[in-house]
Amino acid sequence: MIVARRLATRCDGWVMTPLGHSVTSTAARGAAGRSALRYAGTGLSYVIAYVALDWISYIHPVAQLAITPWNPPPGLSLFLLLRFGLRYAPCLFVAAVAAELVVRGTAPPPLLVLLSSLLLTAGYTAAGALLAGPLRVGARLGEVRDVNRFVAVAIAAPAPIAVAFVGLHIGLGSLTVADFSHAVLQFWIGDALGIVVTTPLLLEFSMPRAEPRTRFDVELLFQAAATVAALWIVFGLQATDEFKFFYLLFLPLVWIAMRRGIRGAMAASLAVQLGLVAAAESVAEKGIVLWQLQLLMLALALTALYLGTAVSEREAARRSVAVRDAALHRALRMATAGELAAAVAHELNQPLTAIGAYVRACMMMSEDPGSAARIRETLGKTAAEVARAGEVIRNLRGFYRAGTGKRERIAPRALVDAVVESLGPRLAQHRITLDLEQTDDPASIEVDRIQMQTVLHNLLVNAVDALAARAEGERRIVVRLGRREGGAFACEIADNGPGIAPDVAGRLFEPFTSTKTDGMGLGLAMSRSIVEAHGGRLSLLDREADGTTFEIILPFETTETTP
Amino acid sequence: VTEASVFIIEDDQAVRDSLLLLLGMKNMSARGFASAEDFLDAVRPEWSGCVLLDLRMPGKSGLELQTMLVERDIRLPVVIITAHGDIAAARAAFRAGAVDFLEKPLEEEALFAAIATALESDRKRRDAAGAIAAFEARVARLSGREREVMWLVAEGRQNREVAVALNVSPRTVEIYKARMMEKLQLRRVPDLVRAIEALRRDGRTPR
Repeated sequence: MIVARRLATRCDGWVMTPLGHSVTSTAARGAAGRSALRYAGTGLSYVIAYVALDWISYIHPVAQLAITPWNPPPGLSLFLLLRFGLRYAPCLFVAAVAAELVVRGTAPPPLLVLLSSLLLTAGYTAAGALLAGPLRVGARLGEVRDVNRFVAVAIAAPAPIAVAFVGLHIGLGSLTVADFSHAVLQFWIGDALGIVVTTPLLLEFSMPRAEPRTRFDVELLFQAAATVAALWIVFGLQATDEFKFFYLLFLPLVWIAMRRGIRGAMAASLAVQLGLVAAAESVAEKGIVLWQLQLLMLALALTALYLGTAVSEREAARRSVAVRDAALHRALRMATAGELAAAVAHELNQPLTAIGAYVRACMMMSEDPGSAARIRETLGKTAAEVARAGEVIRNLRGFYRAGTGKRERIAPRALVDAVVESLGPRLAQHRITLDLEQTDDPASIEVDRIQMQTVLHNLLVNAVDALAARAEGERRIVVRLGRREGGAFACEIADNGPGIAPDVAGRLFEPFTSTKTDGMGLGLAMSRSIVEAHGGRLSLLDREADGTTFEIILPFETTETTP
Repeated sequence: VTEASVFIIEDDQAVRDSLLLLLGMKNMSARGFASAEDFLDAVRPEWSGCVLLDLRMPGKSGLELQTMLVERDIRLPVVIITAHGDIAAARAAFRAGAVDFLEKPLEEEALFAAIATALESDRKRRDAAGAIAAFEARVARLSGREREVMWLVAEGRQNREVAVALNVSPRTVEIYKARMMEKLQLRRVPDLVRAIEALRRDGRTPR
């Protein structure tokens, strides 16, 4: 999977060239021609960039050779091979020869140019092949694992190349044996540094952005200012020891890496390196030991690379988790919607069936002029079924509206009275006694009236249904209104029905939990979310006495007048 | 003999009540039951008609009731009415012998068509059962010799063969056979063969 993705990005890489060609041609010949053109374009762009980089970085050379303290061209070469493929290896040779001729000015011996260029080409092609092949480092250093492998190669590879390169020059007489260790060290660290700074930067910025774009903001200005300030402190202060404050450079770099990930880190790393090179150049006469500065620069570059990668990796993991979470939530919502639709269909089908049959019956009755009383009675039953269907819809709407209500100030007693009144016929039909006990006079509460009435309605209907198991004459519901400590409003609804089984009580408030055969199991779930949206709490009280008691608590803030 | 009725087994009071009313308006005899258990307690083998059965009910489900009716040899045709019309439920209901499967809300035409079909099939089954029972009663009234002749004739034997088997004269066989056919109210031998086949198919084996 990862390999496949790698391959895909690699192929993608071939399609994108600096000249902006696209591969949409169907004619094989045209594609081949275009492919050759693309190769030439990419190769030429690389050679020009290579020579330019070599020219810019040609400072403090060892014996007028391509040995400099900060040598980015090999970094560019590795970028070319990793990003566009090993088939660009011949371009390395062309670039090396061109750089020798253009940058080094004085005409060097052709044999030396040829051999040293061949050596560099072979060395860095081998390094590129090692990374892209067995080490499987992709065109993007996405993970710390990739960075480890890349850094290992970037630091190790220049060493043998340095030995061979310096050895060649000693053999052909352009360096002396005395220069050996000095030249090798300089070549090694210079190239390693160039690679560590340049290749990841180019790889990262040549690929489509993986992270959301960070906009230009004030923080960026501060980060830039901090970088400049750190550079100024390190080199600008006329300190005797130039490296005394070097550690300060880590601060802006860490800051940028933490905030902006790999892209920011690499850009900052380059900026700091350029600043260091320029600053070192300007104060060169103060006798800075070059390789010490190089080591510090290397440490700085590695810090930026690792930190940036780690931050980006974490960011990517966080994003992928967020994407997965969103997908899961969507799936859950869909499943719930399906369940809800089935439940609602059932709930509506029953009254609709009854309504249909009643209406048909009424139509038949209407043919007999003497049956007005029967028709009236049947229409009454029909109306009750219409109300039942309406209740299903109202409950459903309440379920979705929970938490978005419009609050108004209302006396709790009025709220309860309205609900009890609407349930009056039902209570009478089942011969249920309802008592209202008011221990204290709670202040008016600020609630969504319809939502709160829905809650009370649901709880009372549950109580009525529970009492069906009890003999007539013993059925009793008690509603207690009162205050709790802190002024919280409390409402208890208790019935002396059979109570709720312990195994059901645990998941009582979950949607689609119902003990009724005709219930959707939404009533309590909805009621709880309404009460919680009011900052309160709806719970089942655990009492020794038989029956079921629900308690609604609304907090002080809801019940007291707010200024 | 009781009148053919529609037995509505439905836990929803309003649905049950409205269907009873509607069937009553159509001058059909109908009875309602709030649960499968209520129906099982009340049902008698001689009841005729059909059953309108809700699938999801507290206690025994419609499907369980169907199975128990088969076990008790109560063969009232069953029409399922359900608010959960999924394919699995329909398949299970038909496998248990339902004659139709209707989804709520019910369409009046479909409901009455299903009821008419169910009643018709119950009537046919009962007519056939009645004919078999009547035939069985007539067989019981045959004398021993007449019954022996009946079996042999039903097996396809000629009069002469019957005479040999019973060791009587062919003339006597003629007389027994005529009397047997008269008592069984049959006119031709193929009718006799068919009637005995029907008896066997119904699981009864007369001596």
